[in-house]
Amino acid sequence: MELVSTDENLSENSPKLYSLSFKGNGNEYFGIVIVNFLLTIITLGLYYPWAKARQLQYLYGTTEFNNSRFEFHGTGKEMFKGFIKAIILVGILLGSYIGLILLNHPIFAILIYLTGIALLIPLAIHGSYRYRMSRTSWRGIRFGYRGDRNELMSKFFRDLLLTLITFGIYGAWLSIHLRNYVLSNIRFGNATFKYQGNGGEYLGINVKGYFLTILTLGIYFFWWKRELFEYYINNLVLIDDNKKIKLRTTATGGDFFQLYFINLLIIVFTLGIGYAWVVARSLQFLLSKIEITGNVDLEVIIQTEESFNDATGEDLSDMLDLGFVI
Amino acid sequence: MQTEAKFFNGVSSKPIDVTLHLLISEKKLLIIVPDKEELYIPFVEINITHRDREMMMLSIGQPSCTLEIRNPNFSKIFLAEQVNNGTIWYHKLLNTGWKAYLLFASIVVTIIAAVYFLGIPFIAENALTILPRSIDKAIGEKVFEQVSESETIDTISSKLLTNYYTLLNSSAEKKYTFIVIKKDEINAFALPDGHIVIYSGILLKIHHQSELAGLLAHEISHVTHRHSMKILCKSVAGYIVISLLMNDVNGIMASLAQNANSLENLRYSRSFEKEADISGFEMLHLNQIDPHGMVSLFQVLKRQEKVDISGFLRTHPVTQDRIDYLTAKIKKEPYPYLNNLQLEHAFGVLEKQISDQDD
Repeated sequence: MELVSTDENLSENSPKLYSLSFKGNGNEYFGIVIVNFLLTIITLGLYYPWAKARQLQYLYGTTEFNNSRFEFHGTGKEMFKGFIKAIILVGILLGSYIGLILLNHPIFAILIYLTGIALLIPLAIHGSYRYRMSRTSWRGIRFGYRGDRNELMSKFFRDLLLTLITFGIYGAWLSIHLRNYVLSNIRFGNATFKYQGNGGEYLGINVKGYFLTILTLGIYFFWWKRELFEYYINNLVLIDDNKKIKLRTTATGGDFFQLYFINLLIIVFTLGIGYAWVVARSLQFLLSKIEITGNVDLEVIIQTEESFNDATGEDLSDMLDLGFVI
Repeated sequence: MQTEAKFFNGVSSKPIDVTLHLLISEKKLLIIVPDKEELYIPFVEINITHRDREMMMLSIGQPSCTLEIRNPNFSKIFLAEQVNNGTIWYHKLLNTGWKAYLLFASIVVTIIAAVYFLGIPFIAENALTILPRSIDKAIGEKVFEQVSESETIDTISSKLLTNYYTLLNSSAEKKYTFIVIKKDEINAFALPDGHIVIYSGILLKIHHQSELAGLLAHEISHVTHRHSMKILCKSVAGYIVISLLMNDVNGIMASLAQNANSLENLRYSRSFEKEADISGFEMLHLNQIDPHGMVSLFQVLKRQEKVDISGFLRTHPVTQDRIDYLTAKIKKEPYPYLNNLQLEHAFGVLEKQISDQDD
């Protein structure tokens, strides 16, 4: 007994290599996409939330981490309710904008519109993370987002103000501060994610990427993309007590060039129908280029996060086209 | 039917090896946890959260337990038996295979094409009957504001042009405002609120009053048919449909689609030019003005075309086409016309004013 337990302790503390891969393929995903597209069209778009749930279920379900798949539990019904609420919110905003334009207060209308959008962005981020995370699980353990809405709002507006004052330069800090806050509030059961980025470094990568891309007539673009991907991945850790899981990417600029180039060929030569294959091969590529090491024991994670079923934020961020980081 | 599976109890991430038995007649799934317990789960309480060739994942209850099953045969039978699940039709649809996918794809393409080429013009035409004329007025005024900020208005010539029009069409309501802009450009356009804007460049090329009558008749027809509003409605509707359809697809396809949309709008507006020519002709007929003026106006314009751009990409129909169909129409529907001395005079004054200014 004694011997066995020391053995376990040893293996617990020495760093392990975890595996992450995408097991889906374009053919299967194409079936889902085309069926969804058909249903969405014949229902005049009403099927969209269900279509989205199906697509997310497939993409999560085919993502395998250490021999177990992720699960997406969100349903079309939840997202449909959220969709309606999001439409009402956006409708009120657009309505007051058009109303003010017709009443001949164009400046006031634009001010209301921009303020409204600025308010909706942090609301959408907060809501979509709460929903998406609580609806995601791995080995039955839910993820969760514990960020505070008011804290996120005040950070967002402070940084937005600074961004306006600095003519956009502070925008690099704005996006990294948001990423730091949001990702560091994500939990996986009793384990916590932490993202530590720095606005200055991020700005540096982008300035360098921008100018070198111009100087090299676009060739550097792929190395710029690689550097950003590295910045997003390598600064993310999962912490469980004093144990950690670290992420690192092994992708090269050449890999990114190949990925983008072939994706472009697929899209152009299939007139967009090859979209499903582009998604599948991109995920396969990106996940295979992430190396995960650490000493967290993945068999002792405890369920801690409550479930949350209001998808308004999810749908709102869809409408604002915000995209999702994780 | 039985299989091995991994079970997660929703409390900890520790995998538990279990054996599953499919109790088809009872519509239950039996989960046997070795040395511990046996769980009987009715099919209706089980959600399939994922299924692909290798793996099926089931989720049970709240807080959810998860089952990972790597046995395609078992998955297939389970799926077939789980008829109570409301989503079964979807899985059936998914399992229809390649031929069905191709069929779906062609149905989708047909629907999109039908909506785009039949639905949108229909919506645009009908939206217009709902939209009150006050919107035409508001939009026209806004555009005119911008035009008058960037261009120099020749007030004297504008007045003379208005004068000419009153003599041309005395019966018409006074809803048109004629504006001459001082610029050496061969151009004229009508705004939806009834502003008819003529550049001095085109007036310099016009040497007979019936040519001017033809030009004004054409532009006024644009207003009476609400052409610019129709184009606006159509391009907005087209834009909305395309951005909805292209929501998921990447930027390249979206921009391809947008460009195709503008080409289609161009074709749409070309049909309006022809309509304006024809109803301009009818307006000349009504006022007994020589319709050959319109033809000679196009001949003047044709001489100005330095580069011959193919008809496809131009907003206006190719000038030769316009000359041809107008000549044909004049031949088919001849009418007597008078030499209106008052009009001749009004045109002469305007022509002199324009050429004086040019020097």
